[in-house]
Amino acid sequence: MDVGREEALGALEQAEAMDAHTRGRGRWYAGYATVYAAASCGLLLALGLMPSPVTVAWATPLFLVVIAGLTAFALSRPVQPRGYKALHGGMIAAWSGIYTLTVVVGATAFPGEMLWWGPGALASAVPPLVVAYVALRRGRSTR
Amino acid sequence: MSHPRSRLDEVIHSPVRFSVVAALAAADRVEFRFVRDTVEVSDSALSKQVSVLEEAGYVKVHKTAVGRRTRTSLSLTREGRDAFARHVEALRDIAAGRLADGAEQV
Repeated sequence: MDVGREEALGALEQAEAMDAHTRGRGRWYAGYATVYAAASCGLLLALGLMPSPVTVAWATPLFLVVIAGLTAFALSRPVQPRGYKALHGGMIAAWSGIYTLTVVVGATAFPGEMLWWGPGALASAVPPLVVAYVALRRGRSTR
Repeated sequence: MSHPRSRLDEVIHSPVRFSVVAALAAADRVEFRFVRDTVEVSDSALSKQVSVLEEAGYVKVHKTAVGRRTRTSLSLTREGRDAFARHVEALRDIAAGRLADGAEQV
C-alpha cells in the first residue's frame, strides 16, 4: 500500500470526525442517568417522609413507570456508548446497595425522619450522577 | 528500517471500511442505520463492506427483533479494535514522517 503523508493526515482527520460524531450520539446516557437520579431521590423522599401503604402503592409504580420509560428510551438509541455495560452495571449495583440500606435502616429506625431520608435520597442519586458525568466526558472526542 | 506503511491493515485501508471501523471504535455497539448515515453510503454498499469486515473477524453483526422489525447493529471485535489501533498508529507515523524504529524520514 502506498500511502503518503497527506493521505495519512486526511485519513486521521476522517477518523477523528467519525469518532466525534459517534461519541456525541452516545451522550444520551448522561440524560438517562440524570433522570434516574431524580426519580430515585423522589422515590426515597416519598417513601421515607410519608411512610404509609398508600405512599408505597403510588410511589413504587410511578418509579417503575419512569424506569420503563428510561429503558424504552435506552433501547431506541442508535449508539451504545463505549463501556456502557460496565458503567450501567456498576451504577445499578451501587444504587441498589444505597437504596436498600436507606430503606431497610430508615423504615425500622427513622420513619419520617428528614435527617435520615434526605441524605439517603441524595446518596442514592450519587451513583447515577457519577455515571452521567463519566458519560458526558466520554462523549467528547479523545483523538 | 521498515516504513510504517507496511503496518497498515489491508482490510481497514479502504476508505469506506476505514470510516465504518472508526465510527464503531468510538462505541460498544452502533445501529446499522446510524453507520450508514454517518459514512454516507447506501444500505447495499455498507452491507458489502460490513461482510468483508465480518469475514476478517473485525466486526460482529447483531440482529434483534423489535416488534415486527429486525434491528441490525454492529460492533467491533477485540481483533477489530486491535487492528484499527495498529492501523491508526501506522497512519500517525506516516503523517509524522517516522520510520518503524522511531527514526525520522529524511
